[in-house]
Amino acid sequence: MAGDTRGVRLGLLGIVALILMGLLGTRLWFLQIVDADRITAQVQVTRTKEVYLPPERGRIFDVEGRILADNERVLRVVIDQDVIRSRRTSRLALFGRLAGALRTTDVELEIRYCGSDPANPIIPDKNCRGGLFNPYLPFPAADDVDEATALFLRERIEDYPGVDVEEGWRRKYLFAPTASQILGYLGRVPEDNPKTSINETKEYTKLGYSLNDLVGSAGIEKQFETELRGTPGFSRFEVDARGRVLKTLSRTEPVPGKDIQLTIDLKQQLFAEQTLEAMLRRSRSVSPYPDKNDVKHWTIFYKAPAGSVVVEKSGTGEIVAMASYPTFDNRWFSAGISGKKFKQLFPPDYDKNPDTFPSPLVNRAIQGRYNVGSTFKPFTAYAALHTNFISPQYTYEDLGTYELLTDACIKKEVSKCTFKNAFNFATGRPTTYGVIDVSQALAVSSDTFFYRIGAELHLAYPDADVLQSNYRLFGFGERTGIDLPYEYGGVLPDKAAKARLAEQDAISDLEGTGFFVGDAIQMAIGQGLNAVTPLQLTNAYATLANGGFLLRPLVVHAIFPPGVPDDPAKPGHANVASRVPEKLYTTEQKPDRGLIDTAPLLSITPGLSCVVLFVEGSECRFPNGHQPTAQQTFKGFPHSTIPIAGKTGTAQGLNNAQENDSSVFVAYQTGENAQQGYTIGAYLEKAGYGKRAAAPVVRCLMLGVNGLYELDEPALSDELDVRSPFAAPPNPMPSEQCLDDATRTVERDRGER
Amino acid sequence: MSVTFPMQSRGMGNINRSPSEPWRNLDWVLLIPTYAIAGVGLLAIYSASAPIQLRTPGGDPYLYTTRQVIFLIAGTAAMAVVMTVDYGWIKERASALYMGTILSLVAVQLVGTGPPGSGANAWFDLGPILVQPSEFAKVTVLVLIAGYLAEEREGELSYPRFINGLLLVGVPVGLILIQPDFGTASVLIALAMGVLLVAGASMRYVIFISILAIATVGGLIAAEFVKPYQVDRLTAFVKQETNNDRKTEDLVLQVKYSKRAIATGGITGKGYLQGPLTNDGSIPVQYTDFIFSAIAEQFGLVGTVVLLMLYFFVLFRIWRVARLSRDDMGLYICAGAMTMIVWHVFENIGMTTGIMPVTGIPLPLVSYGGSSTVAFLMMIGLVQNVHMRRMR
Repeated sequence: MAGDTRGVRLGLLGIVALILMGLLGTRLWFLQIVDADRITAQVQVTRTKEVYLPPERGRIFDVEGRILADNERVLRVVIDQDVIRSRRTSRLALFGRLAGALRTTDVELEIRYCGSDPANPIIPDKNCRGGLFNPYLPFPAADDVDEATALFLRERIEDYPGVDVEEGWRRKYLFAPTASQILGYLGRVPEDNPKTSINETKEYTKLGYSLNDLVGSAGIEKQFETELRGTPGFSRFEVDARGRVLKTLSRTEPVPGKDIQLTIDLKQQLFAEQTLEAMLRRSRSVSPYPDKNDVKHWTIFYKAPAGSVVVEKSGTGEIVAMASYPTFDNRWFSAGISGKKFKQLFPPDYDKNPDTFPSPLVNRAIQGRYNVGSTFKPFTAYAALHTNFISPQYTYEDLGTYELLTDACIKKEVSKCTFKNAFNFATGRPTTYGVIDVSQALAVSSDTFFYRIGAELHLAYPDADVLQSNYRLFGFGERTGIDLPYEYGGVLPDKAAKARLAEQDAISDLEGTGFFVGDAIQMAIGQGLNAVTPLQLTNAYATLANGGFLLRPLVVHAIFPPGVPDDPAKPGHANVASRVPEKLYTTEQKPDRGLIDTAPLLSITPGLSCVVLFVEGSECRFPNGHQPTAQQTFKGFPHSTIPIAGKTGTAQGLNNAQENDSSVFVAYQTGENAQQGYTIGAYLEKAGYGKRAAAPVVRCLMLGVNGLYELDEPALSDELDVRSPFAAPPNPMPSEQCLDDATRTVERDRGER
Repeated sequence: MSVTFPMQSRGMGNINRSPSEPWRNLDWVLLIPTYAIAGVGLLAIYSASAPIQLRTPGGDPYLYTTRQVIFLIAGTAAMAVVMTVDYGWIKERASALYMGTILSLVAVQLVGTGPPGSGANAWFDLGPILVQPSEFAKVTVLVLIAGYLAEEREGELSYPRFINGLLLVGVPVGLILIQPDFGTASVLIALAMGVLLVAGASMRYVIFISILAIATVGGLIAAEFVKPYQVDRLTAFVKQETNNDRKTEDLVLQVKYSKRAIATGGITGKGYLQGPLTNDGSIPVQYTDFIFSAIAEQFGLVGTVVLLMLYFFVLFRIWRVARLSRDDMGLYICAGAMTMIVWHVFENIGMTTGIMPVTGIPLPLVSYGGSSTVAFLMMIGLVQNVHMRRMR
């Protein structure tokens, strides 16, 4: 061994070796002792993979078994957003490799992801602004791939990072957009809204929903979410480092949701939607000022922006049809449209100008907050008769005006003490009807008759709210309890309600100090602060029709255990008859409400029959050429086969201008078959007086629901056209004959309300 | 000393044989830990390769283990051959050996293959086996540089000899870098540094060579000479906890799962053939470069410490041989062998535990692989050679 320095240096090398070995030992100590527990726990989490198996959602049928909501099994190719969001080059590279498997091109995938260039639809938008898809969910590169493609991709999961094939269901609305308002739609689990105390996301999460789940967001889909959803299944896999499945550990099969049958008859529903829309469209070319010399007004037309109808079975409360215009196609919500497109279809600023942008998402039949005008009068009549304030034989001389003679009026402390009938177009003065009884007052819709009842009932019992408590018997001022979400309960103004309105600055503080005689007068004829939904109104008339039972309206007929089969004989139909319902919804009378006093109905119903019945020389003709309000409209109506009664209403709008009149009409079948008959209500916003727009619609529907008018069989709808600019496409009636019949008569006799 | 062949004198016992007779001076104590390590390797290779083979239709669970046994036998034969001749004799044929090494490294560039996807040319494909000339270059370069530096008579290494020594190592290092194979090149650089240190290079020289090495690596990366996958390996090392790039994910996952396997082994391990991460093949090519994770998962800290002690025992034994060496060349051979083994062990275990970047260098005598196994046994053979001929 040469030299001592060699020995020292060799020792140095030995020390380096010792240090390095020591380092390794230390590292192993940390890994295998200090970190062992933490990493062991981590490994156990990542070694199993849980796959969510979505259950098939319950289907929805109409009363005839038509499948309104169905499901389709789909294999969806999705890409993790993290993989494709940031870098365009790597995204295009992945799209390029995927394109072949998905039988598309990388450019098309890029357009699907980014939207197309505004200038040139066949190239992708460079700034990637028009993407169709929710950025919080995996990007669906292809919605419906075949088994072979799915298998191909699953086997090459390592070549396609972030790409996965999901099994799922797609909701299909076979007859959309018909009944979209009732069916509703599915949407994402709602985000937490800091304004409300309900933490919706948490509520859904508690129920076992994942944030990627779709939940019912409106209509039946929302109301019956629990029944429709079913129970999700899970599959647990043991996976290796790259996510490849080694073996299945456990599998819990999903349980499909329950099927629901509605009381809706889609044929009637389609007809109702078409008739409502047709009448609104017609109204838009009609001017409320037919005098062509009236230079100031002759360019004004009815706006007729919106409306709704309800067709209810009088004896059971079952809703056969319920339409609201404008409506929408509920398939938009699953079409994966962009936020921009969505705003175009559903303008968010509809509140600011409801005439220009009426929201299609509002179901006006249950959410409309309306004055219902003279259609309220029968219930005022009921209050007067029921309290024996007047007798059935009582008469009143209608001189066209009602003078209020309270102390305040005599001292001239309040400005409005004279209440007038509507002006007669021919004379330019308030219409005078002469001596009339309660039936006749209803038939011609005398305002002064009911002004007096309102005023004097209130003055007799100023703090008893006699009117309101009688209206409540018919369900006004509270929700009907229909099985649909977001129902509005309406308002019956009283002292407390007025105080609330004053607090919200809806009325002045002075107004809010109490319920005054002026309020009672307005309320008696359906004007003023009261708010009623078309469904409430229709249901109240059904009470008149069925002999005094206030019912809870039904849209759901039955709930079936999962798996009602298709009817092989009829495409688009389920064989509902082959299964026993799990739950049958039956007529339910509202609690605490017994049979309403039927005696007043003996005076009210003849009056309402007179409104529509045109018989030459009958008792329903009145002196001075005053015809009951809707006789012209129901000329030629088969009164002998379908005896009906009805009432017009004209709800006055802004400045009491004629073009702001909303048209209301309700009719119900009378006679022996009243219990099996229908009650039909229509409310057409800013479409004129009651008989002009709403009454023809009701006439058509009354014929249709009784099988006296030929209706189209609803057809399975075509694919949704995602380029359409309409929330729902125009829905014309096949034949407008019944509307023509109802409006053929010369427009005259303007002096009714 | 000329070539010596073992001669058996029949019937007369060992009485005629000198105590300096090389075959009487075999360091048996060095051979025990060496083969103990190889034995651990066989167990580990079986555990890491059999489960995958069993899942493959027609797979043979003993495939890699059997081959490794053959490699060990071949290596032992090669070791015996190396021990037969005096290392002085080998030194005299150094230039031929060196030329052979350079030629084989050039040839592998022209006709060689490499791991699929790497683009590297590191192997000769000889049908049933793959030969990796860079592994054998470790042995030849060791002999060569030890011999060259031992010619210096002065106490301290002269500057020209230092530079020439660097060049001697530099040429094969350059050729190996071209393949490219950073791992093996780093082993040769470590070897040169170790030998130069012991040979008396002044500290300035050692610092100089360190800077040179770092500058070379930096320059190669800057000149985009380095293959992207090697840059990825570095990126993956730096970002092993934070990586979210798909490109380097596989590399990060390999290390991550290797660390998991080691950590979940705990103190006593999960038992032989009972390691779930090893059994389901979570760690790619575990039976070669990541074999340590299999040992750690199954035998725990107890197992890994025993393995480290075995290596340490080997190193200590080589160190002892170095002290006993009859001349500088023997000393340098032992120093070089030590450095290489230390570097292999540190880098390999370091990368499996996540404290070093991933390079493809094997764990000596444990990782599956013919060329490296034979080369390591030849290296042990050289050390034995020094021990056998320590008496002048």
